[in-house]
Amino acid sequence: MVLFLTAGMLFCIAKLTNQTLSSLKFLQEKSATTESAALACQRLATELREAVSTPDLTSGVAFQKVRPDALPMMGQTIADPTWRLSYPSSSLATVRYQQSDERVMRQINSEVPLEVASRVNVFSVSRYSGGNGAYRIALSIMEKRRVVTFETVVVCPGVRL
Amino acid sequence: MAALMLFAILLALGLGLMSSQSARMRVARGQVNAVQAKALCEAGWEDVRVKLGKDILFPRLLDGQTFFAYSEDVYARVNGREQIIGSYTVIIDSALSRETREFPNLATDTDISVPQGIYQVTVAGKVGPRTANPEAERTMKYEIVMSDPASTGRFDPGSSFRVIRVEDWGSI
Repeated sequence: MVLFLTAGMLFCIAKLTNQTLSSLKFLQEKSATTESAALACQRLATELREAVSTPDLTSGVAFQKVRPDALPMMGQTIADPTWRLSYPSSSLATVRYQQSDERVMRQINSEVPLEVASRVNVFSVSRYSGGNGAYRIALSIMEKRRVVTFETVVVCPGVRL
Repeated sequence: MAALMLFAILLALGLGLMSSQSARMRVARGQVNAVQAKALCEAGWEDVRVKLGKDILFPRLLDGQTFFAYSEDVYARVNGREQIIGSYTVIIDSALSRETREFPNLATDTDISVPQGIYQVTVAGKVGPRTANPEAERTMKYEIVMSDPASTGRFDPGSSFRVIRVEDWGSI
């Protein structure tokens, strides 16, 4: 009798554990997808803030930023006849984010594109009407039964319209 | 014996679940802190941008002084009480700039000196009170052309105050 009861209880516990673990796994996958989309959105917003040219919004977004390895304009003083208002084109890099199938890809100049987010339903960058040099980023991802959209507004100090 | 085994299994399951949830909570809290640090950093930039744009005497530098720094605390009202969120620190490096008369023509009377050249502005946002280690930190760097001496020879708002470089140094 005791053995029968113990077996029954262990069976119930095993079933409960199995269900808990499967729901935990689902929640972890969902959390990972959501986090990757949120990070992609955040990454684009952070990089777009570094733009020094008006972003091209025809396909995804493409903009220029100063290369991280470009030296500051040290040594160039205002008495220098070669004084210029902006960095030379050799110090700039073109960054492009665009959707390819269900992925958002990031490409620097003409190098190999790298995946930033997957399971993407819609990715768009548009000019934000509320501010000068402000852009709205929208990224929708597919979950099992619903579409989750992330939106952020980024202000680019280096963009003058 | 069976009850003991059952208890042990349930305890192990519960501990495993709790530890995974607490790790997730830590990550979530870290993300919130990172966003707050970024917001503090952007608040610092907006502050220095407005100060530079509205006050021609800012920053007031002494002869030979090239660095100017200031820091401000940021508070928020939580449940009716003011609570410190963090602080931002702004450092202005004017080594690539100099002050000149507003009008180069000495015959024109003026008391105003205007900056010419580049200001390098570093802004750091920190979450948490100053007396403790920051819970999160974010640093951004900006280079601003204060005015272009080559264009008109005098202070020209059209060609000045242009941000020519933005660097996000990320967070810790």
